[in-house]
Amino acid sequence: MPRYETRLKRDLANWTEKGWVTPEGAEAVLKAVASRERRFSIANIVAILGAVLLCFSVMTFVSANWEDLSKGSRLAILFTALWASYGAVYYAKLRGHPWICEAALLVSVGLFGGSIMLISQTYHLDGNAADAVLLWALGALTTGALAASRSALAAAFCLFALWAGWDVFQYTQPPPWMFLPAWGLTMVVVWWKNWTPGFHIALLSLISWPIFMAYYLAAQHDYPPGQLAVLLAQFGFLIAAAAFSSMRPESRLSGFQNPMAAYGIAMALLAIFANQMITGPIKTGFDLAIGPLVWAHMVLVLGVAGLVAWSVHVRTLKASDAGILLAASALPIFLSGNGFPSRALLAGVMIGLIVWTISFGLRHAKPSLKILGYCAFGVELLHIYFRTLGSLMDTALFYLLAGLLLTGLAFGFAKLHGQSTETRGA
Amino acid sequence: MKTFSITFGLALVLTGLLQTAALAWMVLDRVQLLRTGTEIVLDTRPVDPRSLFRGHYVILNYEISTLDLQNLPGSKTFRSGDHVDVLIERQDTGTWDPASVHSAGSVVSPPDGQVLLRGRVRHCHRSDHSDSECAKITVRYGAEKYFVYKDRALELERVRDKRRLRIILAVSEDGEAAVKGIEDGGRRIYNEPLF
Repeated sequence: MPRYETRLKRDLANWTEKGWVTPEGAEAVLKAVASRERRFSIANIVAILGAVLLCFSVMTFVSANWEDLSKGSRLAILFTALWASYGAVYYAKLRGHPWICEAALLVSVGLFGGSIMLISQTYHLDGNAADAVLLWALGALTTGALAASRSALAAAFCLFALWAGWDVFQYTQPPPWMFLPAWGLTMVVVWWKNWTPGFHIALLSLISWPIFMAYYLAAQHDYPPGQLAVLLAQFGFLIAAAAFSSMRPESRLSGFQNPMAAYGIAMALLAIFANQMITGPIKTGFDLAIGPLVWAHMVLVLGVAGLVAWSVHVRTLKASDAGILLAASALPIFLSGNGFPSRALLAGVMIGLIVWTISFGLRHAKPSLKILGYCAFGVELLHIYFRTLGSLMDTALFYLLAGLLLTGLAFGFAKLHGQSTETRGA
Repeated sequence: MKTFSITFGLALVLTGLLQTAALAWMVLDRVQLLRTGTEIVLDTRPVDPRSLFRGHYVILNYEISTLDLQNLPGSKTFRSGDHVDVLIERQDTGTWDPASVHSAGSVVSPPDGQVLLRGRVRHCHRSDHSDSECAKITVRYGAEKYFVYKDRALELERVRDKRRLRIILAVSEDGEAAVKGIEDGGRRIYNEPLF
């Protein structure tokens, strides 16, 4: 049973006993809460994931060549589509549909990025891809600032982070210092627009910066960059484990545990994702016999183990959840080489962690973890998309894999939801 | 409400204009390069067949994509990600070969008969006798992809694998390169239209 319901049931019993609430009223409140939980159905989950897939289907259109059109016609289509999207934004605003307006603004940001890619394709531009991402990010920031679009500002944070990391992963330099002023500029706009939830997205994108710096510094000093990222992932797990161990109402961290857990998991997800971006062989501290790295891994994993064990003891985590967290923090240490097993293990840890994050968020009614999991799912799909297109695999194979993943997730959530409903009914 | 709508509309128009200007600048910069850049012709070499084809484009691997620094004058100390200036000169065969290699920005103006091509170091293959010097470097010039529909791409790959494919690049004064045309065994078979 979700934690909120458990607490509410206890409180309502107390209040009924004191005569503040009638037994009928208490029952009605509990029924209303239970029906609210059920509204988050499997159909919703599949719809959200389906929407992510639909967005990626637009990407396949971008990667396809426009065989029968002249360059002029292609450019005319791009500019018309961009202006049509702004027309749709204005129309939706006039008709008083704020959500359609926001969606259309996000589409316009996507069209701007798509236009950059298609112009690059049309003119065989194969120069610095990071410059293209920077231009896209600046376009998103412009939309966010001038049209007051929150989704465009969120996109700007993500794109600036992508820009900062691009060359570090591609060439191991330059150092990603320029991310900080770009981040600061976007923060100024978020502050100006008084968009408080934007601070969360700002912090999430800021977490990516130490990961990029770790890569840069590792490459400059011939350290294994993947292992430094694993250290950051383990640090994220440690923060999350500390949050889970204090998820009790009387905790001094009361009110802060949920964001703390979400930021910890986000850091772990980002660092493991960054590890997937390494193009060269993944070397471990064990391979290179680097003592301090191995010790740092040990200390962090032991720290995670201690905290999750305590969480199980105080019943804030189930033993299975604790085991998953511990395994996810320990497994990436053993990655080595550049072959399929290492890559597959890393992808397995990433996807397993995403599924666990969503399921934990669902089981314990923690929206921050649910949203984080869905976002990570989208990013991982994008990664698989580029990886599969980068080899001889066909786009169809990508959709097959994504479809299987989607079906597996839907099945898993259906089972979880069934269990959750049964528990409530018991 | 009306004032708000007009202000919002103006903000959207300004956003659209800025983004359109950025996209138009991308196109015009490329058109200007194709129109006025110095033409050079480069030999291509076959690449690993497992990575020949990605989506609908051909990977162009030039003879000058790998530079043997031990046999070329100029700088030898590079790191992955460094920008590099390669001076190339025309050979009797009609293609252009590297004459010297320099750190980016160190060539003020290329000598007569030579053209400056700017690239970025992808990998440095270390020299046996020095930790800082490279024996060879692989360089990307930003013109390594040629987007074309599938059948045409496969046809071009066959030509390239017989070592008959030559790429005509337009090069600007600051060394930026753009694919301008294709030669099959010395015969120009394709010209890149501007629009």
